[in-house]
Amino acid sequence: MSIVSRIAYLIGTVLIAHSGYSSYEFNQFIKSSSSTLELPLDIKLEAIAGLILFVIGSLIAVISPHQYTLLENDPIYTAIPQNDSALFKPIKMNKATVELEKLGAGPFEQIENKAAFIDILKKRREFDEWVMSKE
Amino acid sequence: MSKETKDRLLRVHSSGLYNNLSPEQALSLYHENKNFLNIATSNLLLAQDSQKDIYDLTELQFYLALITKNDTEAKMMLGRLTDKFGGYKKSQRIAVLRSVYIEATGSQPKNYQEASKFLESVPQFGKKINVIRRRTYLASKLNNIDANEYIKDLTSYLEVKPSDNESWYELSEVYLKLGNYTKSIYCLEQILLCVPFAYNIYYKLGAVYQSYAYKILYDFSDSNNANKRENFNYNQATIDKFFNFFNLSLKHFLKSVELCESYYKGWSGIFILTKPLKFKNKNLVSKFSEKNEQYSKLNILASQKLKEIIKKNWTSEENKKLIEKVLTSE
Repeated sequence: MSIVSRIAYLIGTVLIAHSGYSSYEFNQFIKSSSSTLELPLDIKLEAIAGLILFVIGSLIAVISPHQYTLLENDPIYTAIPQNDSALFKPIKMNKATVELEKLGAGPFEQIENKAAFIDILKKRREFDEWVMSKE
Repeated sequence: MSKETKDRLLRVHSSGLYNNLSPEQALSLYHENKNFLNIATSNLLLAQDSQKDIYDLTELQFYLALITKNDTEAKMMLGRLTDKFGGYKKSQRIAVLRSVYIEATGSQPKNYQEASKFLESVPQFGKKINVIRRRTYLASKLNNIDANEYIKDLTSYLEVKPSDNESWYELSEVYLKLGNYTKSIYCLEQILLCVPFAYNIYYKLGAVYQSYAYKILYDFSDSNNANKRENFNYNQATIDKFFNFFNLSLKHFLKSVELCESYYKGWSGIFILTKPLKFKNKNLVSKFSEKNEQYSKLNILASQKLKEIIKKNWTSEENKKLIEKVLTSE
């Protein structure tokens, strides 16, 4: 959570609480004086401003989760282009596929890999050879 | 154990990457998946939360265990799946897994036969698509069966299920091995009918067109017994044919990078294709230089993009080394 979102949360909470207390006090006053006054505009505005700040704060606080590349274990964070929110994925396909390629497998990788035609004996032989070469 | 790890392992399963791992990668993934499954299956709450994922990972573990020669564990995974989904008579996926197990652990010369016999014993064998597909593959491995037989089997399978892209790809590779370029291209185009944005298939098409183009030159010089192919006098028809396929190849490489900006294979293809021709034949060179400006522009762009891919870390370290090789190749 960034410092901006914390400040926005704090101010938003204070504003909402303050407007709530103000409207309570105003209600007490109305009860005792039995007048027909409406809730003053500044209390309403304060509550709305507090809500907006609170929403902005929580939107900023969201960080897209980081992903791991498929084969090497180092985490790579989803690409954040400049002047752009990390929450949104690129619309154009040539940009959107960049991230998937970076992670290690494109969206159409399964056609190339042909797992249904796996040559299990060859794989086991390769593994044997690798173990032998290590010893 | 986190959601990220699970997503990653599931992606390995769904993309079929376990068929293309080096032994070292297979071993490390095997240990990781094993640990993950141990924790996930002991944690009942989580297991109920995502049953399907757990069984997908169990299937992945079955393959990884077989690759890394942990046969008892593979058997255990198969047992778990059988307990959940019923035996091979009920589920064709289980039948395929079992045949893979028989194939991997059986005694060496007979195992293909045993596995294919097992698949034939599955009730209503003719109606089960996955079982037929695996049997087709096993038949190709049996003795005395040549590529033509395999092609026949694959085409009859594809007539039943024409939307099976993996099988089209396999068929195209078989044709490519036989040198039948036109049919190989046809198979790849069939895949594009189903998935028109598959940029790796566009790249593959480009590569096949490229080899086809050079094969035309080769065949011509070969039939005329030339010693030096570079200096040979090709006739006009051959040159036209060569450039037809040359341009088609370039077109498909370009399409692949249009769909994925960081597809290093596509950029490498463009880079190599648009390099100045090595041939000294006058007609060939003059035809090439008609579009020389366009080609050299593309060549520069491709090398820039390849360098950018390295700089921005858009691909793995292994692929980066490959790119370096392409860039420094003569």
